[in-house]
Amino acid sequence: MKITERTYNKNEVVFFKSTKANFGGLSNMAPGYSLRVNDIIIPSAEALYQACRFPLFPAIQQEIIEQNSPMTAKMKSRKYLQYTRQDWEEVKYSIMYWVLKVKLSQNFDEFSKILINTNSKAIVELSDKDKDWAAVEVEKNLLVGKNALGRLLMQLREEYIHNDNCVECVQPIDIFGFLLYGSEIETVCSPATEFENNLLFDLVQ
Amino acid sequence: MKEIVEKIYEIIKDYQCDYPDRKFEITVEHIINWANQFGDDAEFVLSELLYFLPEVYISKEKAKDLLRTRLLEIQKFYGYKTMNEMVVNTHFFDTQQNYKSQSELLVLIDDILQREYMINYKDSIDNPKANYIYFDDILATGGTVFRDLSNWLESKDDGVSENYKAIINKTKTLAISLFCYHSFGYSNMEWRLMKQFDDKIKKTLIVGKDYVVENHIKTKWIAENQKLNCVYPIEEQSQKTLEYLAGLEAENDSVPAFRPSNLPKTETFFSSPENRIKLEKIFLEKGIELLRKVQKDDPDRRKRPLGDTVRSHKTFGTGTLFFTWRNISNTCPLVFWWDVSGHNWTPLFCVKNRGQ
Repeated sequence: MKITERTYNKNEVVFFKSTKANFGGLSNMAPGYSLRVNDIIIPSAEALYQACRFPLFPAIQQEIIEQNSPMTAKMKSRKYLQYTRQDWEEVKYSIMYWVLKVKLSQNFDEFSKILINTNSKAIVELSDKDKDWAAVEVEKNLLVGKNALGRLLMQLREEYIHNDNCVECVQPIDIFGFLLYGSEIETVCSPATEFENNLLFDLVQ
Repeated sequence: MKEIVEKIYEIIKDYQCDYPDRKFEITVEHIINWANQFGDDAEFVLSELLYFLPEVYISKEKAKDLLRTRLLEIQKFYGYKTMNEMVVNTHFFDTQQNYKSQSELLVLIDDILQREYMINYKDSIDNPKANYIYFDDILATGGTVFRDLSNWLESKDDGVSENYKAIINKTKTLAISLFCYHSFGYSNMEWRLMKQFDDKIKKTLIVGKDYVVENHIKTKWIAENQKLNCVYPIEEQSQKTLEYLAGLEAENDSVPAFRPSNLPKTETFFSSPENRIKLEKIFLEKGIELLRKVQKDDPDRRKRPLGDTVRSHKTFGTGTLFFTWRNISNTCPLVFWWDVSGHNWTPLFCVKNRGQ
């Protein structure tokens, strides 16, 4: 997947930077959006994304996932960059989109509300220097960058909010070696689906 | 064989010792009768049982020791100088019905506190509390503990805001004390609490446990580090066994019915990997045989040869191998507790009324 650089007018977009400010929930660093894949609880979207870099190294994945803070998870990942999957640059956007779908599926009430509140505006992650995942304010109100995360969020909004497609369960993406802790990643479903169907345990005696 | 039986007897002789309506006492003869139902495998079953039983049977005295230690741990953890101070500030949940495990554990706790500390915790039961502790013996699927905790977390003790908010902002603490939990069931309970209330529940929930049944095997990496100290059969089974599984009305096949045949990496629970396979097969086949005798048109979907499990799970059962003096868990293999008139099977441990 190739993504080219774009420019945005800061006054016309929804932008986010700090997880505590408006629309902070759009960030992968936002707390309170836990995930569960292959029965493994993962504290944040960032931790899941970073873990996907190292499919052949479950110990590294575990170290990343065990970090409570998304920022620490990212820092742990940086320690092991030499073990990144070789095709990472080719698959990273697809993986990120899958992560966002899982985040939406498993945190639908909160996350969909934020996406709805962006209306149909462009979504931009604002950064001081990252022109790949985000955009940088190069001069007053002029944002430049690939804004990959913002664009994937817009795609997610289009697919699941505007077009109202079902995100109850999310299939794994079709790439070689899409592994978590040494096992193929399976379809993941929303907690509501799991709970309604008593997939975890029976509450009615 | 007699020597093995006597050793087993010494371990389990206090089973239901405090239950006046128990169907029978544990005796050497009873153990032999139970074992003989396995025919030529009787001695093998007994010797394997003896191998793991000392680690997984909680007698009443052992339960008191564990609870005594737990009370001291709690006092230390919360930083109270005296046990009295801890008790005054701590609420012991009493949410289960009288015939369930929690109320029986509270009787023991009451006894320890009264005899050893001259404290009657019921005297301060209406005082405002900072700490809340849920005692239970075994967490298997996690459903019971989840239900009781979530009922409390969503209620409003102060009449204003939900209790979970006080736990998250740390004005109150919430703890669970268990003799044993199953790692898979615990993870399911934790996930549902997080999703129903707040992710922070995971970090704020305090857990005291004495034993873990390591049965979380969905991913290879985690599975390789699990002891699998339960009955979890491999896929190489008889046609009849495989047909039983295929015929189960259970929609969730994402829970593995079989353990990988190369796991556990090191056998620490049974006497050898071969003996594990043999015992698992015996218990599984006998359990299926017992279930085949059920005549009901709508048999309970939780009942499985290796013990009760979640209705939706397409597995042979929980396979718990952990026992307490007070009552056998229905998540243990049926061979230990199945007692149905006309089924021609004598259980090792009689089931106390579970109020069902």
